[in-house]
Formats: sequence, structure tokens, C-alpha cells
Amino acid sequence: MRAPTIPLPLARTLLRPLYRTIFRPRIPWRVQRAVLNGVARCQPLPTGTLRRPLVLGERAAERVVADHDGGSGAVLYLHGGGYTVGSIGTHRSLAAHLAKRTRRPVYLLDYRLAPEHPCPAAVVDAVEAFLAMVVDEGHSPGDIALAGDSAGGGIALAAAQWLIHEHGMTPAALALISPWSDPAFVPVRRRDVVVNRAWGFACAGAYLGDGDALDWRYAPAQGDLCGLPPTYVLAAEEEILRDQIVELAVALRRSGTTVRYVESPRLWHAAQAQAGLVRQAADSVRDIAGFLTIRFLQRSPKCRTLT
Amino acid sequence: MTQDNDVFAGKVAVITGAGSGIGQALAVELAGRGARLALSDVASDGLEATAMRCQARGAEVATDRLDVTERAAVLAYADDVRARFGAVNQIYNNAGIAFYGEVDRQHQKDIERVFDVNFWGVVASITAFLPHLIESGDGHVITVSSLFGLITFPGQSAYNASKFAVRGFTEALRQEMLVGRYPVRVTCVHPGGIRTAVARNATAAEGLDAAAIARKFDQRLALHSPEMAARAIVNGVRRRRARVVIGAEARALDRLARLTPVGSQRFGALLSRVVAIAPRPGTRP
Repeated sequence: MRAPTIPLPLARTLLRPLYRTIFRPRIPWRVQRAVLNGVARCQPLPTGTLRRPLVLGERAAERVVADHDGGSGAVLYLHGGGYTVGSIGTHRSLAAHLAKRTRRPVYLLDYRLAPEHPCPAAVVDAVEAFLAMVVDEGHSPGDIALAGDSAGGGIALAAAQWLIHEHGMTPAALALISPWSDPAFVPVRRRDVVVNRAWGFACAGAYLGDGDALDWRYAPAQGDLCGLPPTYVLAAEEEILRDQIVELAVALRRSGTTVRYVESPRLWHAAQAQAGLVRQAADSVRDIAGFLTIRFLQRSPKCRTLT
Repeated sequence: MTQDNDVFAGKVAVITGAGSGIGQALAVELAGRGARLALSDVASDGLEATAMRCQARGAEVATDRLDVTERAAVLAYADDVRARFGAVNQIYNNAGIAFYGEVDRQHQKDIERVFDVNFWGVVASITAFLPHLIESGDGHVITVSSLFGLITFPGQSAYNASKFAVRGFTEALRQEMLVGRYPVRVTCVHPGGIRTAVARNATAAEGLDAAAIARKFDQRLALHSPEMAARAIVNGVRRRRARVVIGAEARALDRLARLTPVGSQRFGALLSRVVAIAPRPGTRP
């Protein structure tokens, strides 16, 4: 049942040139998207994974389930990719591992990408999808966790703020994997295994469009962080976003949010997307799933009557 | 490997300037090796980030805002750390500031400010903690000097002098510990160009653009990550090295300075023209 995995140093050695080749500002976005989607096909899914395409809000989505134990709770997952690339396909493996370990359905959303659709299109899509999960899929708002990696982490954080302040709905929890929550932040380092500064600037500019760089929907780390649910924040030690992720974790804790900050010394930026190939990435997803599962269980009525 | 980690596991390490750069990387590296950490910085913002990262590695961390130029505060802090942790094993004198300015353009107060932090700060810290280090039976003083504590560079007179001074103080301390057979080891660290905030936070003499100088320094001379520097320091401590020079370029320049003390001055002057950190007005860049 276990799919074969590849050793972590080998994975790093293979991924570095791939990302270095395609994450370039001069390569058209549609080419970058196509290459990423193609490469993602070699990622195996855990056995027993069930997928159901659906529409959330007005966007395509996919419900991924593996080993569902019937408990309440679900995850809305926002994929990464610098607000400009990435898809349901690139993050299906991560979502399937998350679904397997939480034993809850994970909804992957195909939100609108920049530069065709700059901020706040992605956040609007995420909020609409969350509301559709409540209305169409029958989940209680407090039972839905928001999760995302990289740009998806930024979208998840912005969507959570929107839901809390505009709709009075607080999600069950947040899981932010290598979140990019302040695109205007200039990192010290030039590149890591996955991303480089020049590509990051191009993405940040594409996503900003004609907007304001201080808009909380663009840079949710600068927004109102009060009232957020328990949040899992993860960074890779050697990624260029690390400093801004640590800053976000500190800001969240200062605002009174329960924060679990985790830093992985050996993995790279959003390595959890390779959960199907790298054992350490799968282990990391399991740790995230553990955090979310505890939140789901704490919120279930059975648990409430016990306490 | 277990034996190696005994150098740090459960040991109490004090790090000044732990809010950023080499100090933060040192704290994180030591946290991963099981040290108990007393971290301080003059600004509390970065300190919280360092603590967050160390706690993610399961370390016991105490953070305090401390200005190493306030001697009384440093003395009180040393006793406080001793009381809270029960012992003090390693002190990393890392806090430092940079300043750029030619001799004829800087004020006395600029030089004094550099010395207050880079030299007197270290002196205060060593004198305050030394009794506790001796008492622990397993003490180690680690002072972060600089490559500029080994070679001189135009425009760095104040910084150069402070880093040479701190090197002299530290090396003499090591000799005293050897002569007196005290259980305290001493390591002097000379990092080359590290990407830290020290250049970016530097001030410059009037009429010079500190930000532009810092940018040039970062682009042309900052070759290594703080993490690499931290690993080198920790390795030096583990191996009980008296001197740790970080970076191939720093080691090469160190050799040059010892081979030809006068020639290395010329070389430094030439190098400053090549990298054009801050050309004097009226001279060709």
C-alpha cells in the first residue's frame, strides 16, 4: 500500500534544477503552469483516495477523501504557486495525504490566478468557496479548516480575516505552510531550492495589479489578526520566506492567536507538496493533520458534552 | 556524536545581539543541539522571532532586552541568568555595531559609540559572567570579533580598532585562563562577509549615504549566510578552537596579513577601490 519514496537529498537535487528552470520572470505564465501540471502527474496518490469534481462558488474544485471516518470537519485547501501558477493537479497529492491523515474531506479550489485576475480575485474565490461548503456541502463554518501553502497560505489567511470580519464566521483552524502573506516583503536571500527573488517580484507585481500593497487582502500579515482560530505556521529553515514567516508567527501570537510554529531544518519551501514522493514531507503533512484533527475533535458535539 | 552534543546539551548559553543575524542563527543552532538559552538584544522585536524559532526546536528560552553598554544592567543580568538557570556555561559576545567613516570625517562621539558596544559591551559581559563561568566548572567565552579584527580596511578605523581591541582582550583572557588553570575555554571568532543586519544598520559619518554603503557591502562583500557562520562557530566551540576564522576569503586575508603585515595594508587599500564601498569625493571610483 505504501508507494515508493525517494531519499530527501535526491529529491532536493532533482527539484532544484527543475524549479530554477521554470520559475523565471521571462517564461510566460501559461508555460510555467503547463510544465508544473505535467510534472505533478508523477506524484502518486495514497491508495483508497477518492476524488469528486464539483463547483464551489463559481470555481471548479475537487473533493478528495481517503479513509473518511465520518467525523465532522473538512479542509478548504488553497494551493501555492506565487498567485500566478499551480492548480488542483499540482497539489492533489498533498491534499490526498492531508485527507488520509485527518480522515476528513479536503476541498481543493481552482481559484483565479494573476496576472489575468489580480488581487483580490483569489481571496474572493476562497471566501465564496468557503460559503459554498457551508451552504451546498452542509459543513458548519466552525468545522471547516482553511489551509494553504506559499501563496495559498496568504490567501487562506486573508480569507479567514474576511470570513471573521465580514461574515462573522470563524473557521475551525488555519494551517499555513510556508505562507507568503506579505508579498511586498523583500527577503535577504536571493534564492532557495524552490523560488528566487526575481520570480517572487514578478509574482508579487502580477498579483498586485493596480491595487494597494498595504491592502490586507494583498498582504494579510499587515491586516487585523485578532480573532483568528488556532493556527499552524510552518517554515523551512533555509527558505527565503523564512524571516517573514517567523514575523507572521510572532505577529499572530501577539494578537492573541494560538500559534504552533514549526520549522523544518531539512525540507524546502512548501516541500509538503511532494508528500507523495518524500517521506519527510509526508511526515510533515501528518503533523499538520494532527493539529487540525485535534481542532475538529474539540469542536465536535460529542467532545463538548464530555467537557 | 553523542559526545559532541554533550558540549551543548543541557548547557546554559548566553547570547547577546540574538535578535538577528549571526546571533539569531547561533541561538537556533544551539537550540537544535539541546542548549538552554538566555537571549538578549537591544531591540525586543527580533528577539521574539528568535525565541519562536528556538522554541520550535524544543529549547528552553529566556529573552531579555539588554543594552550591553549599560554596565550595571549587564551585571544584574548575569546574576539574574545564573539565578534563573542555576548555572552559566557559555557566553557568546555577539552584539556589535558597524560604522563607516574616514578618520578626518568622523566625530569623536562616533568612535566612542562603536567602542561602547563592540569593546566595552564585551568587557562588561565577560567581567559580569566570568565568576559564573568559573563556578560552572565547564565554561566557555566566545567573542565575535571580525575579519576586520585581523586586517584593516579604509573607512573602518573605528570598527577596526574596536575589533582589534576585543581580540586583544579575548586572547589575553584565554592566556589568563590557561595560566590560572581555570575551567574556562576562550574562543575568538573572526567572521568574513556575512549577510546580516550589521552593515544595513550601520551608521556613517556625516555626508555619507549609510544605506548605499550597506547595499554595496551586501552585494559585494557579504558572501555567507548567518547560518553558515553559526555552524562554524558551534563547530569551533565543540572542537575547543582558540580562534575561528569564517569564510575562505577571511582565511586567505588572515594568512596574507600574517605573511606580509605591511603588504596586506596595501592590498586592503586596493581592495577598497575595487569594491568601491565609499569612494572619496574627488577621487576616481
